Amino acid sequence: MIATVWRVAGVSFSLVVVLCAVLLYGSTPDQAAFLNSQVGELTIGFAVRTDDLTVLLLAVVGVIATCVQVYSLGYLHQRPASYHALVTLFTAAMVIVVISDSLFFLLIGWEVMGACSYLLIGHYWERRDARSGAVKAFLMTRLGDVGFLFGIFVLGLGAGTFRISQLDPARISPGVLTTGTLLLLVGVVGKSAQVPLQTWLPDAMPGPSPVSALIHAATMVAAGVFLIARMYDVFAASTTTLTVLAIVACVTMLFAALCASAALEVKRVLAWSTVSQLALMFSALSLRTADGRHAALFHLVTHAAFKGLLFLCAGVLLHQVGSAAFVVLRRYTRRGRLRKALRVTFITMTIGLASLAGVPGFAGFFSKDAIIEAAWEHARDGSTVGWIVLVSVCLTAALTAFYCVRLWLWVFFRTPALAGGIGAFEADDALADLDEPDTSKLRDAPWLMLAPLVLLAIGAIVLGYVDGVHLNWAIGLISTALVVLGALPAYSLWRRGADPRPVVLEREFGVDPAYRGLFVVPVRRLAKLTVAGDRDVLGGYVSAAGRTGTLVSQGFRRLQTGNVQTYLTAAVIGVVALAVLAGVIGS
Amino acid sequence: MPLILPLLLAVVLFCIGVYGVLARRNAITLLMSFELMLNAVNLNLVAFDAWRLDGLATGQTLAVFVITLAAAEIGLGLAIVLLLFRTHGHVDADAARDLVEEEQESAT
Repeated sequence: MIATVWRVAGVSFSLVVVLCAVLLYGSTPDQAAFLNSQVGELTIGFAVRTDDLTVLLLAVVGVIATCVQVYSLGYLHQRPASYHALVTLFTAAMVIVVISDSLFFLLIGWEVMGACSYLLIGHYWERRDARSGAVKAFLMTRLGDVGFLFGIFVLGLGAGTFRISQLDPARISPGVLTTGTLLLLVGVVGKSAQVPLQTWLPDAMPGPSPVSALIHAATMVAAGVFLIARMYDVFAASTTTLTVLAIVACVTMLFAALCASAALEVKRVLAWSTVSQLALMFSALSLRTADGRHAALFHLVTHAAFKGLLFLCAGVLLHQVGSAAFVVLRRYTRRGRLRKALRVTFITMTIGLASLAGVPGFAGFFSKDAIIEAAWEHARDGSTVGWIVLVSVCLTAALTAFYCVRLWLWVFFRTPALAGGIGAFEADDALADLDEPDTSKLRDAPWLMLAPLVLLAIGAIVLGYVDGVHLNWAIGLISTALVVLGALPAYSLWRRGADPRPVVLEREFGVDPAYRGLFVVPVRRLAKLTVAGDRDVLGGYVSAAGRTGTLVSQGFRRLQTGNVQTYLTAAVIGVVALAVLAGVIGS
Repeated sequence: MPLILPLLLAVVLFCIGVYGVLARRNAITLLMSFELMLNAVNLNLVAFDAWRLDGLATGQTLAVFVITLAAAEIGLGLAIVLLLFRTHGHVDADAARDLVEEEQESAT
């Protein structure tokens, strides 16, 4: 009963968000403040605003949330009602971030999202990896949020206001501006899983797939990009911050793309690709041009469509096959069943991957080209940052095509050369020949789950054209060439049934073990030391005091002989002694 | 009569009383020794009253109070002694050690 109520509430809330976006579309930008309180010379309160950016993000959040909520009806119909309630809260928190005009109001939404993502990633609480992934996500985003909070303080105090629309970079001294934006950047890096706080996003994969779709497409990680776009004037005023952002983004996009090309699970590939694509948006933002900002937001929208689509497809694979690991999927593919049984999923996932890889004609192609074009124009003006971004984006485009094709071919197609023989993943799978999967029961998901897929697949194509096609043919050709360049090695490797995975990539550059050695182990040691100090030193004193009391009382107990006359004697002696003492003192 | 003589007598009486309370074993003797001590106090009160002559005879009044109290006390005391005899079959103060602390080694 409660679950039904929450399902209805969740779907209708998302629809209301979409409706708001539709109603606000084209209206003049407006803002309102309420519940203000005066603290010294500062005004702290809530404020909301509506402008183009708000409407755009509201539409994205609303559509993705509707898809996810509807999809979840089929995906998680036997799980507790808290799931739908949390997804709704998650969406609402993102809406708060999007509409708020007060830094503190924004912080509330920002933190509620962190809490919701923790609870939703740990939704399958009975699984150990889900629990530890949730804790990891929470701790790493919290680490970033500390920087975010102090960034708000620094900027707000420096500018004398906490209203985003009134933050005027010209009125803030450069030092304060740089410090404040760098601190905000720490929060953004944590929330959007950029280097060096990137490891939580791939480890959040044990969460339910619709939640992953929501986190990766519309909320949480997109909040970082949104924040920089929202406060673009402030960020653009600090060259240092944008340079740092560019470096972080370039390192992240290559790092994540390399990790994605060695990952062994569909969802993990997608998670790393999200990190990489977000870095693409950040690199566009770091160019400090209006084109760059526009390209970043364009990519945010198209990415929301195709990444939401891909995660929902991965959810269908998980739901119907029971696993999204390449090894397990290959057992079905080897017998040629997967593609035929899951026809709709196959087609929509192909569209999603094509869009992600940037195949001409799909939405991702146009938005990626917009970023490359913005970077090229910036680089042509003689900017080093522009050149770095341009080279990294091009490399990332090729790598993206590589891992998309690798994923697509290995998951859905029999290797022709081997004709069902032993390929790379079968060689890893000890159960490949022993375990004959029951392919007869494999069929596509219910239409409740497929409808959002179809809707998002249409979005993953059409969204590229809504902005009007401003294609620079030279750049379009280059990026197509890059896609082919990335796709060919993947194809030839797959044809030979080989999947060479360098150890360093498979271990994701050893970042996790390094963090473990650097932070986790020392903290554990310190904790043990603290426990030992508490138990053995402080506790020693406490129990020694107790034992002394007991020992002394053991001695005093012997005085209680039960003989009245002994007591009286003691009393008389005491009285006499007191009298003598009084006499001595008195004289 | 000098004040010192009744006071000396009172001291002697009190000391005999104390000795009796502390050293004798018979409970009845104990009670009698209490009476001796009380009466030593009475003697003190009367002697000082005669010495001070404050006109209100405070000392004598107090002495009458003490006598009354002593009567009540001896009634109670004898009742206790009677009960002691009934339950234990003797009136030996030394032997009545029911409230002794038992030896136990369980240090908490």
